[in-house]
Amino acid sequence: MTAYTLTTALGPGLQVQEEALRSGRSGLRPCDLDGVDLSTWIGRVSGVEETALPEGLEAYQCRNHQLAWLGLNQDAFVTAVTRAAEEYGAHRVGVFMGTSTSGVQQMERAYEESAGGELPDSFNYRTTQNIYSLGDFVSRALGLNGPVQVISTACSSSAKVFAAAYRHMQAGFCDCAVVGGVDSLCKMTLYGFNSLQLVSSHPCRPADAGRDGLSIGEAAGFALLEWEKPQHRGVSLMGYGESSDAYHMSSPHPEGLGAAMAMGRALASAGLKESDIHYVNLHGTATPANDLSEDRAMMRLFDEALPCSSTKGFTGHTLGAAGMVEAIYCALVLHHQYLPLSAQTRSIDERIKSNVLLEGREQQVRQVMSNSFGFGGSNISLVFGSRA
Amino acid sequence: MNAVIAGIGLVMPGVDGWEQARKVLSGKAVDLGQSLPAMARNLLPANERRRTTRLIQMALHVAEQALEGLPGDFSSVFASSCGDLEIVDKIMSALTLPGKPVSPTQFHNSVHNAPAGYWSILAGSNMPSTSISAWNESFSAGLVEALSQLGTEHHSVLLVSYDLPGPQRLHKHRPVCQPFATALLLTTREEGPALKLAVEPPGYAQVSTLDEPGWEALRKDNPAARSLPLLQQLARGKPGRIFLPYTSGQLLRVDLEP
Repeated sequence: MTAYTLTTALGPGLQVQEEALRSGRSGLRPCDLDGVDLSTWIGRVSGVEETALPEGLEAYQCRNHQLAWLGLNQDAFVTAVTRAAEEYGAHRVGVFMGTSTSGVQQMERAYEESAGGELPDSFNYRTTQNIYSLGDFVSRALGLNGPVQVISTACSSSAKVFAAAYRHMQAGFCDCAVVGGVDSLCKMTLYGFNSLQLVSSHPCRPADAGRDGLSIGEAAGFALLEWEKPQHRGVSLMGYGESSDAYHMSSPHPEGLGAAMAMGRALASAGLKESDIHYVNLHGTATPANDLSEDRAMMRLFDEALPCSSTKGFTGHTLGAAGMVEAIYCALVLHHQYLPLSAQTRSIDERIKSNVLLEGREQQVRQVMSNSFGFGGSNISLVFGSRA
Repeated sequence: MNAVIAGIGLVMPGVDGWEQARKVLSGKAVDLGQSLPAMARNLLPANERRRTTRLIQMALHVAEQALEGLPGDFSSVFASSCGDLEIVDKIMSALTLPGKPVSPTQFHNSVHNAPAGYWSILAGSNMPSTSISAWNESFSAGLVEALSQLGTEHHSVLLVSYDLPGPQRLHKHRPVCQPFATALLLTTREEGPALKLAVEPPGYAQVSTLDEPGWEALRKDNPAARSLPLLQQLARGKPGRIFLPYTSGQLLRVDLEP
């Protein structure tokens, strides 16, 4: 990962993420999204509505692409991509994006305006709501013209972009890759998760005995992946493992079978054993079922002492962006050698055996794992490491 | 690397399965006035099947055809330009009503990987699966993803590509008129017709088209039907080179050896 950046409810860019992870400040706030009448907390990014899209890409105007553009413009990420495009050729830089709902807010508005009749002509399906529009927008905004793929596997989407990018590079379809995840707040997900009774009326409390559901958030994160060179320092993708639950569309396997397979395959892919992992960033959505299932999976592989935390108490569950958010938090953990606490978690569910951190701490870590699981039983675990 | 095509599924108006498709594709005209075949009952448990949509059933149908009962030791790639527009339409409409009564089943069916989720349950397979979109180039992007998996970590990959016409209200905004779905079981382990891929720059060649106007209209209409030049070449059983549209105006060169 030769460059990376992240924008969440905590703020834009990496520095504010790192400061909040250390101070324990959560980015959640009571839901203040226009037209949403739900008693819940959300991880809303400030400044999205004011973000203007680059010239020539006005047709892509929607909350998701505004958030994407806000995110791309942090941490000199665009400069790093421009350097890569010059080095490899713009047609050899792949773009692999993950999202669950793309720019669906634009479609929500079109339906509201239409009042049951024709949708307004101003609604542009291709450039806003279609799943591919995120990859199309990012590729154009960065001046790239290579392979583009958008993965949409619910809440595992933007963790799977790492696997897809690696495979395309390995198979020679591109030389390096911009990977990313962007999902933005909308009525569809807030009311959809509410209909499944998975939304909390409090700030979410992962692994807590009193946890009662998600807080939904939004985020944009990006990374530039290149083959490792001797001069590279910093964080590398060491491996990944994917699996399917083959169990239920919206509930995880109660014993965490699919999740454990993903973690096991990730270890095998990285050439590591269980004890080589020093920290796990949990999927940790704070729904009763997810956290218990994930813990059972963790206990199939890891020792009870292995430190882990869910960072969804900071950002909310950013759905299709969550994989990227937590991959970048893993990079920060490796860079700063600091393990974040699980925000809002006070008293751990006694059935949960994992060592969920109630306080952050300095600790030497070399290899860390990030878990992402989604609807449809779509699981992936990523392993990152740092070069000494 | 050569990817052997070990099985093919196809469903479109008046055509159900590869045997029938091969005859129609080797012939001249196509009659798109016929109705979409009824989807045979698949192996999905009844309580899950009850919750599925037309799009999900179509995807599962061609997937089963491509496998012909082969065991489930392969990963899967589901490629669709638009996913389930009927479901999205229903949810969008519900959000305009008092209380915004979104159906929980419709919500979990709205994820782009819903067909993949049901597929894993049907097949009882814990193997990895991905669900992607690349607008009109979704089939090509799926083919590249499948080959990249064969080149790195899997010896067999099931590629399923499908799109349906959306509801009337969305037609103006996404004018797809004909349903089309196809599935390819690709493997490095068997003998048979094989394909090789290379990405070529814009302008390197013309995108392959179909001679007969009805087939060509179908190819242009449905993103999954962008696969037709490849399928026609397979139906003819002859070696050949075709060019499929790929992302950023690039071309996917497909070399086929029977």
